[in-house]
Amino acid sequence: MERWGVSKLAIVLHGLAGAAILVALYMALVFAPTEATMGHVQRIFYWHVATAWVGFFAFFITLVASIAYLRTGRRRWDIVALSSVEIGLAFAVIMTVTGSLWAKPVWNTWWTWEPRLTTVAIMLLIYATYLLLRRVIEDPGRRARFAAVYGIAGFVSVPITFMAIRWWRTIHPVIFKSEGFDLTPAMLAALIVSVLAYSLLYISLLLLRTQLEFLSDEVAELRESLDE
Amino acid sequence: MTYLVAAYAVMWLITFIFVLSMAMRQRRLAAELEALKERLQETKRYGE
Amino acid sequence: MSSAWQAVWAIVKKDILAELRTKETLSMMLIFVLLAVFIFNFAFDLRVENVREVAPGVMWVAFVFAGVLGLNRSFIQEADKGCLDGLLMTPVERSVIYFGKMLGNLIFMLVVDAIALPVFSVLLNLALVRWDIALIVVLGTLGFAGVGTLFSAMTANTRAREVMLPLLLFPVALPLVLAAVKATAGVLDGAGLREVANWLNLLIGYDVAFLTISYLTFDYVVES
Repeated sequence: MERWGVSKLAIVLHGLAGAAILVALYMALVFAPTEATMGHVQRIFYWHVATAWVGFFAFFITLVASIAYLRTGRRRWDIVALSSVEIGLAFAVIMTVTGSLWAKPVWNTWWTWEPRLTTVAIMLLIYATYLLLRRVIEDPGRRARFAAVYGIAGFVSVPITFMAIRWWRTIHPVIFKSEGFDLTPAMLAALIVSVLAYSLLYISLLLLRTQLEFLSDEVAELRESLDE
Repeated sequence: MTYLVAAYAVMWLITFIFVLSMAMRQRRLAAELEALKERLQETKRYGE
Repeated sequence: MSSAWQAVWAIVKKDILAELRTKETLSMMLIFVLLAVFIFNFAFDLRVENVREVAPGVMWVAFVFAGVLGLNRSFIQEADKGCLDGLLMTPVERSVIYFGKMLGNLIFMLVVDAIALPVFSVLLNLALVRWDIALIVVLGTLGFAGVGTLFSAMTANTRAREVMLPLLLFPVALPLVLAAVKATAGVLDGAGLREVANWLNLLIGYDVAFLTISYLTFDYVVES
C-alpha cells in the first residue's frame, strides 16, 4: 500500500495539473484572439478539443491495460483499465455537452445525426455499458477478464469516431490534418496548452482513481480476513 | 457569450462531480477501514 | 490443420442436429423477424412512396434482433444443460470451439435471413432477392455473428444474461449494422457495388477486426 500512498511526486503532479489548468483557462479565455465570424463562442473550442483528445487517449489506455491484464492477470492492470474508462467517460461527456452548446449558436441545433456525433454517441454507450457489465458479474476474476475483453472489442469504436470526420463529408470541422492547422499561431498555442493541461489532469485523476481502487481492495481484503 | 459561459460551467460542474464522487468514495472507505481496524484490535484483545 | 477443421465441423454439425430435432431457435427467430416487419409497418405506415427509404433499416433491425434471439440461446442452452463444461473438456483448442459455435450461429442467422428476404420482398413490394443484397447480408451477418458469439459466451455467465447480451452487443455492432444499412440502401437506389465500396470496405474491416479480436480473446471468456 505504501507504494501507492501519497508520495511527494504525486503532490507535485497534482499541483502541476492544477496550475496547468489555470494557465490553460487564461490562454483560452484571454490570450487567444476572438474568432472573426463566431465571436467569443469559439473559445469553447480549446476545451472541447482538449477533452476530446484526452477522452480518446483514456480509452486507448483502457485498451492497453486490458491487453496487459489478459496477458499477466495482474489486478493492477484491471484497475488502470477501469479507472481510465471512468475518467474517459467524464471527459467524453464534457466533450459532448460543450460540443452541443457550441453547435446551438453555430449550427443552429443542439444535436444532428451526422457521422461524428453519431459515432461519439455510440462510443459513449459502449463505455457506459462497460461499467454496467462490471456490475453484473460477481466473481472478481471473471469480472476483470470479461471487462478486459469488452474493453478491447469496444475500442474498435474509437478510431472510427476519430476518422468519422475524415472519411465522410460532414458538418463537423477537421482540426488535425496532415497539411497543418487552420489556426492563427496564438490560437494554436492556446490549443496546445489546453491539451497539455488536460493530459496532466488526466494523469493526476488516474493516479487518484487507481489509489482509490487499491484502497478499496485493501478494505475488502481486511473485511474478509476478519469475517473468517 | 451565454453559450460560452454555459459550456465552461458544465465543464467545471462535471469535473467537480467526478472529483467529489471520488472524494466521497475515499471517505467511505477510510471510515470503513477505521471500523475494521477497531474490530481487529478488539478481537486481538479478547483473543488473548 | 485439417483435424482442427474437422473438430470445428463436428461442433457445427452437433448444433445443427440439435436444432433440427426441436427447431425451436429457428422458428423463434423466424416468427420474430416477421413480427418485426408487422410492427414496423404499423409504426412507419410503410407505403409505396417511402418504402425504398425505410426498407433497408427495417430489414436490418429485424435481422439483428432475430440474431440476438439466436445468439442468446447459443451459450445459455449449453451452460444450463452442463454441455459447455463437457465441450471445454474435449481435447481441442478453445478457438475451435469459438469457430464452431460462431459458424453454427452464422448458419442459423443466414437461414433465417434467406427465408425472410423473399417474404420481405412480397410484404414490402420491393425486389430484395438479389445477389448484391445477398453479399451485403452475408458480410453484415458474419461480423455480427462473430462478435455476437464472443459476447454470448460472456453473458451466459452474468446476472440478467438475456438482457445483457443486447446491451453489450448493440453498441459495439451498431457501426457494422449502419454500414450494412447504408450499403443496402445504396444498392436499392440503383447504385452498383462499386459505388457503395466505402461501406463494403467498412463491413469487411469490421468482419476482420471482430473475428480477430474474438479469436484472440475467446480463451479468456470461457476460462473458469
